Amino acid sequence: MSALSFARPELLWGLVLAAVPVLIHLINRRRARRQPFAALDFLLRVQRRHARRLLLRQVLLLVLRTLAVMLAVLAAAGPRFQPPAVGATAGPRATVIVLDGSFSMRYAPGGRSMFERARELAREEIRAREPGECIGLVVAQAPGPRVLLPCRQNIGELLEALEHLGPGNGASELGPSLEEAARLLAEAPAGRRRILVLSDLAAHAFPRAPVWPASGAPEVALAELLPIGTERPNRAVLEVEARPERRQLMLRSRLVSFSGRDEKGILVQVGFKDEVSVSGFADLPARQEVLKVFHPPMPPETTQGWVALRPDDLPGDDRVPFWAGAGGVVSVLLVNGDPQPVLARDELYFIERALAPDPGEGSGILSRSVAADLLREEDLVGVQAVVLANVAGLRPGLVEALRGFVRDGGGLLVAVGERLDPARASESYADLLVRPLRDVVTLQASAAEDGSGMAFAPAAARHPLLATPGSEEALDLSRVRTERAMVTEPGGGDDARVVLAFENGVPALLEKTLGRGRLLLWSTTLDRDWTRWPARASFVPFWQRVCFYLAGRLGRPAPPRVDSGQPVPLDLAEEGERLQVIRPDGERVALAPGQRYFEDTALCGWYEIRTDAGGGPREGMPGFVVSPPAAESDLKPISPERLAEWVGKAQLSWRAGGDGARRPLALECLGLLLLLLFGEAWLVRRG
Amino acid sequence: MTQETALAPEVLARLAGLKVRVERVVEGLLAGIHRSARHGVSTEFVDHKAYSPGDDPRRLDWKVLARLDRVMVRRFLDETRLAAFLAMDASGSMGYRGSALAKLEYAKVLAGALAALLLHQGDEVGLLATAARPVELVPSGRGEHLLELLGVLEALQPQGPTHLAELVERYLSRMNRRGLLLLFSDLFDADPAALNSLRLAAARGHSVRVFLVLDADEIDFPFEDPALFTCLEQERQLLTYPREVRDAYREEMRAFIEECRRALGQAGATLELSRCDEPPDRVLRRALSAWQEATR
Repeated sequence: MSALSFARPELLWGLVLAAVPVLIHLINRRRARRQPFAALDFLLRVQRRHARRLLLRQVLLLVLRTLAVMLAVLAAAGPRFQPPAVGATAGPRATVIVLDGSFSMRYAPGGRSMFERARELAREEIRAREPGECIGLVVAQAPGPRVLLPCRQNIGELLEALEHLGPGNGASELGPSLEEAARLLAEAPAGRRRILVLSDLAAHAFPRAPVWPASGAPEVALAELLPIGTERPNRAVLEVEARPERRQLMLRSRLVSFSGRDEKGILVQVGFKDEVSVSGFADLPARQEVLKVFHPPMPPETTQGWVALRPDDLPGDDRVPFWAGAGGVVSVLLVNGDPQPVLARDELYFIERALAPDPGEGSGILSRSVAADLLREEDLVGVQAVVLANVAGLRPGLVEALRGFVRDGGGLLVAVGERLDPARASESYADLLVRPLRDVVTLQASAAEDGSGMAFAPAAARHPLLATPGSEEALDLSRVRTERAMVTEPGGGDDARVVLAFENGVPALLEKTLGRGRLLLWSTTLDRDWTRWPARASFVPFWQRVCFYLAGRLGRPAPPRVDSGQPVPLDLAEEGERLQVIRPDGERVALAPGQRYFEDTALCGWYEIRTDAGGGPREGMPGFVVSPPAAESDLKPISPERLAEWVGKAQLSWRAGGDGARRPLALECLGLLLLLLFGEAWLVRRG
Repeated sequence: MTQETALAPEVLARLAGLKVRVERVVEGLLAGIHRSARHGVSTEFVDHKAYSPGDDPRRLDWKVLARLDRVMVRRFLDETRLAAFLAMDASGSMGYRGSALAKLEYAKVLAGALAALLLHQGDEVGLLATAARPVELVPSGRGEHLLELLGVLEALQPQGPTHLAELVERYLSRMNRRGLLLLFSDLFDADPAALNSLRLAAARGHSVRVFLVLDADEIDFPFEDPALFTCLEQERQLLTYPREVRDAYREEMRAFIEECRRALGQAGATLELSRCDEPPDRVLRRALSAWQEATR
């Protein structure tokens, strides 16, 4: 059935202006001036003779002028004509509109998004429904289709529901949505059943064909919001991986251009909050990913950053946030278990100088030393890492304070020596040692080597402590020799990890996590009593990295990233801890005790996790990033052949695009208006 | 400034008094346009004409007959005194003023100028007018008669209906010999007796010259906006859209003028269309030329 609808129906109130020509005519009659005239008899004769013609002409003029005003109003209201459906059969019709609410519907060529076009078309479909036709509405969105309204004849609710809809940030599959629509249609009492799909028809939305009910497949009408042959270029930042590198961040960003041609010199910016930190340019080959690495300085405060491309017609995927953590100086407390009057023989002599080799440059580490006897609980306040160097024993209060310090995210390194009694230490603070200590052993050089002492076993560069910045090779420790070490109880079943070992397999450096903090055990001395490492150049960078590592500024796992609409696994098993999530729009969502997943990920951006007690982002897992699915950035449409195959048994029909599903009649109206005005002018001139 | 421009109705309208206006027009006309408008029996030979039945056989030119074998009649200037009557239509419709001069004012200028010309060549001129009170001035050839006549003309005011038939009958009753009737009117008279009486006057041998005085508005009908047209003589009115009736009206008016011209022509009278936006001397010059042409 054909139907007439209007893009701006509120303008139809202007039809009251059609009365204006009649009013002007009546007013002119009332306001006609008196004109004395001698030849009145002639006028009377003319009037009598042509009375009918004059009356007809006046009526014609009035009709033409009234029609002209009405046509002008109609043209302004944007009339559109819906041609009759091909093959329409008798009986009422049921229609379910499937509105694509995926991220790619935000694509806005010409400033008008695909979702807006789809919604406008849906409005028109609803307003121009056939008599007795019932209409339902399904939104295709992540994680699954949502039935907004079942089939009904009350269009008020449908229009209201449409007003409150917006495009999502996730992916959507049209197959399940069409199945849901077919289910609604099966419940509707109608002779003809139709699904109207309002989508950008991006290929990624068609992974699985719909399974139609046994009763038969409905007609599937597709609206071409943008002609399928039109190129839809889009650039995107697919992912950003941010790793702290001492005082810098190492940003690895994956960029892509879903365009048909190569793009060169595309501006890429990295920033924190609203300020750009570093910029660069990237060449993006057509439909290929590019890895772009940046090394911006870490911001002084805990914050989030972003990597952004120059905005295009789909700006939502041109900027991806990342967690930058906190920069600033790492504060380390060195506890001296064997102070010596001779400076060079002091237990901390070498480590103190390694952490601050050049006061002018600044290593980013602020160390403070205290004798083990003088150590108090208050000394732990404000430090990120504690080094126990050859400390014989600890008071129970101190042990408890250190335990809490590590659980809250601090780092603790225990280095052994002559004064440390393995049995006593293992007994009093076993949980702060990575493994219980046992005996001191002498390490002999292999027969092939000259000199005394044993070297480290070759290490892999996978561990951040052994990695060389900007290189895939491990730190070169091949010339380090150690004469003595303290062995630990064998592992097995514990969560300790050997970071570095001697050639004979005795662990040299072990690590373990406790709460949100890290524990390290160094099985030899920090001075030259048991090892000759302090005489080597590699001693300085290694122990600096150890301090950053303990403070959580090195090797920290990046916060997780999930697609919008997908749940985020929460690994926050801290007893008694009450947490809340701050969404990108600033709204706070309290997490239930024991909550394993966070599901409200509709918005894209940085979700920060905080404790209820206040303070900054939670240590360990400060938050997570939600971004559009990478596939949604690829706007390439499905081919008509693939589409015909996809709908299967359903009858497929095509409608014009979002702006043309109904043929606009404004031009016809204007043409007719011109014709009327021409006729009016001709009548007036003809007298 | 050309003479024509000087005699434009707009200029004449600014001159106070009919006498001054008439003098201005006559000055323009008196450039030796004629000695007598009439030909007749006289001692001063003018020219020959071919003999036609009814011509006086005494005026046959025997010498021409003998020499050329053609029957020709000699023509002479008429030495008789001509008695002319100016018949003024002073009805209400003559009061219409569309341009500088009202129709009656314009007719007065024409009549006054003609009277001056006639008196100037020794003819007698009288005056008849239809007005609230009938006006009549017996013909006279005295020099001071012009002032008297202009005074009576100037006093005429447009009023009442048109009674042309009565005017012509008064003329016929006053003239027991052939004379000249100069009628100034818009001929907006519904009475068919008016034309009959003019025919009767012509049939009795009187020269009947009619000046059809019309305003430009009455010919062109230039009105645009809707207006309530009211009659100047009766209580009648008509609301109409001028643009819609203009063409039909013009056609009606053109037919009326042609009909008047045809009917008067058949009766032996002449009609001169006098538009009130045309300089009066030009109208008179045209009329005099036409009369001269007609009497040859």
